[in-house]
Amino acid sequence: MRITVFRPWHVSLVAMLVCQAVGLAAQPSDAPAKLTASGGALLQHSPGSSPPWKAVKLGSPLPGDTLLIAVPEADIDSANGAVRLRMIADLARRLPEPVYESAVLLHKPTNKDIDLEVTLDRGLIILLNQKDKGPAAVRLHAGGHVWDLLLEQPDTRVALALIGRHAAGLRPYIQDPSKPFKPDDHPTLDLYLLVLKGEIELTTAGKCLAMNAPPGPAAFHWSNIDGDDSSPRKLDELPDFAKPPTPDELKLAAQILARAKTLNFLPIDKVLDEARKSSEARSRMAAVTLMGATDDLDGLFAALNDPAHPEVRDHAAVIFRHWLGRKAGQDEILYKYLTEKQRLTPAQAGGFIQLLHGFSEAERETPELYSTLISYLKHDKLPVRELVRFHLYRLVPAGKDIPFDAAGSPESRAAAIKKWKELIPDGSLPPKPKVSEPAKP
Amino acid sequence: MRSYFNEHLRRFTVILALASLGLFIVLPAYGQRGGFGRGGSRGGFGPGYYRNTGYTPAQVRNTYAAMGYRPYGLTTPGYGYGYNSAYWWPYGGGYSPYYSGYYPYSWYYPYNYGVNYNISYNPSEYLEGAASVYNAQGNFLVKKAEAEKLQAEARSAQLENQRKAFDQALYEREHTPTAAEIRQKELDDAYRRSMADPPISLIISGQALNDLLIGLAQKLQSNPSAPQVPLDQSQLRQISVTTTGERANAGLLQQGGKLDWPVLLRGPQQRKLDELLPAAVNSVVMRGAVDPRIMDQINDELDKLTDHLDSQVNSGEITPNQHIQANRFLNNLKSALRALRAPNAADYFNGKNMAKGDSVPELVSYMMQNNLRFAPAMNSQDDAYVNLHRAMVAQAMQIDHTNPSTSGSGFRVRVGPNLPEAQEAAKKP
Repeated sequence: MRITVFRPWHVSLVAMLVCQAVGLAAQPSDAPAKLTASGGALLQHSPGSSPPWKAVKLGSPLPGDTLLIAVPEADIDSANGAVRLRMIADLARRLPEPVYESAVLLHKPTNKDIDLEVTLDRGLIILLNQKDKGPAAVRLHAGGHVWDLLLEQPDTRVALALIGRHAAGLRPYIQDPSKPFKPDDHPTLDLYLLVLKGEIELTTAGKCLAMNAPPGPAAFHWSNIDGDDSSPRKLDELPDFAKPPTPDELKLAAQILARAKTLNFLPIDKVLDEARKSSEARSRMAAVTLMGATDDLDGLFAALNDPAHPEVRDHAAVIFRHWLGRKAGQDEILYKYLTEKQRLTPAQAGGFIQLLHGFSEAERETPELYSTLISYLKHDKLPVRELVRFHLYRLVPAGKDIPFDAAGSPESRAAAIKKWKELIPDGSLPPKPKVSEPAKP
Repeated sequence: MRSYFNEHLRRFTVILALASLGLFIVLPAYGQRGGFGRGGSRGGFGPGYYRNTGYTPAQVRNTYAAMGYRPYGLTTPGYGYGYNSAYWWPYGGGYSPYYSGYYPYSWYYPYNYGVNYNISYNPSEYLEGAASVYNAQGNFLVKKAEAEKLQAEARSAQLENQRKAFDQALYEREHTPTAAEIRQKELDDAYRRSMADPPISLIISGQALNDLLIGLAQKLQSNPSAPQVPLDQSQLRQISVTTTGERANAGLLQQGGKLDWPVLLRGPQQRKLDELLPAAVNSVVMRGAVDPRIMDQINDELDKLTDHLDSQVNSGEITPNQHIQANRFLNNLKSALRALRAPNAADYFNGKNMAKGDSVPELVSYMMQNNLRFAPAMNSQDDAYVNLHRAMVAQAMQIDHTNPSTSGSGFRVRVGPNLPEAQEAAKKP
């Protein structure tokens, strides 16, 4: 008689095989894409969990209809491998408008001819045809609009950027704090498309446009105010911001990517905490950017209230404005946060949002704006002083040499206010900046 | 005899030695003084210069003097120094270029370049020295003539440059606009800007209306018969005016001093001002000038109100926008008080300082005759200002339509031989 004895390693092997089978069965077979490479980390939003943002492992399939943020770069391949989607951030600040982070939602393609269907929530992406031959099809959603892109040949590349900002000026609903918001107060959204290599076919609103890399019809623009361009714009060569990075820019990117990679191993709040306390200004400011990207309003407000680091406060103001311009409804979210979490009065919350939105051209022509801003430099609350400083020093370049630290002593602030009043007496407009050389095109 | 000869020989030797010693003492003193100054050489005029060139310092100095260069800063007139001038050489008088064989730098200069230091008492050297003197004198005369020629050329060049500079100045004056031309261009630019859909802020500040006022006044002078654009009198009454040169705007007090206060400014100071302001207006209307005591009380209350507004910054109940509106109201009130203090204050309340006219040309004429300009709009006057702007633009377009020569659109149609239109026209028989 033969007796089979099960050794411990037999059991381990069987258990391992069973687990793998279960794991494979659990993987969604219809995942629209997978994370192929990450220059940093790709964060996936899980609203119900804590923390709500988790790093995606390399090679993992990515769920559909889930917000994904690249910190700062990530490569995502479509399920069939035909299209690569590269999410990037404008680390070197090359673009004329700011792109601090990129965020997308992937979708299961609505028909079999589409290789990748994606919603560009914000930021900058590059689409690349990875097929050995033939075109690759992408359906892009952005700002409530839909475009179909056919990347004609292998290695065709096209860049897309979606940037949103509110127009400067007083929101009319802020005048009545009891009814602060209008649901249709949309920021201006701009989508820019640039063919980097090869040829594409762009289908939008019933139009089919042929585009190719420069020289040729390479650029296209859409905004939620004016709609599509009537035709693509011809470029003789790629713009400067699309040219290969310089060694310095590569070095900067490498430093940022090295830090961002820690998100793969540590929880996001720990990473943010370390970055916030870093001795390097760049790390502190990167933390603020990440707070804005991940809707961390507590962190942003704390950054605006940081008494020790003026550059962090200034960057927090920029990121707050960037956050507000993402889409309609951000004002209301912020208002609720300020009144419920920070316990501001409705008038204070409305005033805070007004200061974030800035002032229209007509408002800037009134002397009373400047005398009011100067008065607000002595506000009790540091975030308000910082926002006022943010605007005053940008609106009046003649005052750039007046030293003012929003977190400085009351005496130093009073001295600065006195100098501002000498520069802009009550009832007067500020001196116009001198134009010493012709404006560069 | 022998002892006598030995004695004299000894004395002669001693004298000779002493004389030689004296020479050695004196000569190095000159040799040590290089160039044009005491205490060493300057620039290129060290001992080497004279040695290498064969010129004496006096010759060099004379040449430069001839060119207008005064190395010692002396006031010797003309060019060149007199031959016997004691000022040739700064180390004392009596030096003469005719002094035989005397080239102090040639045999003292410590960096010997082959010059024989040995002094030999040789009669043949005298002859050689004398020949050198004549040679030097000849060279000197040649150089002097050359210097004179150079100076003449320099003077001629100077005169030529002066003439060219004068021509250039004349050219610039002919092509430089005068102050009046610059001013007119500024007015034209302001006029065009005000015509071409200016920002609302420019209109309600009165700036666009004033630019149009000046432009229309000029155009109407040459086009008095242009069709007239009528004005809405109810809106015209809301327009504030001021006399030229003042920052006064009585608009806020036109209702007898009764004000519609913003909520933020209501309080005890507001109530006191509600009593004082009508009294001030009344004193102007009745007596032609404001009562100083009333004005002092108004100023006190206004200061308290301004401080109160300033303290509201930290209030949790107002927004920055409400603060801005309140500030604007106070500034308008201060502007109205300036009108009350003006010498012609009564004109603001007796109907003289007002926007008047049934049509735009009448309004322009009245305002120009009375030296009036549009003041900034009060809080509720924006619509009236915008409508008046539209009417003035319409009037300007009427004038331009009637008389194209006064059109200031700034656009010009070019016709040239290369344009398609011209080519087509040329093809036609």
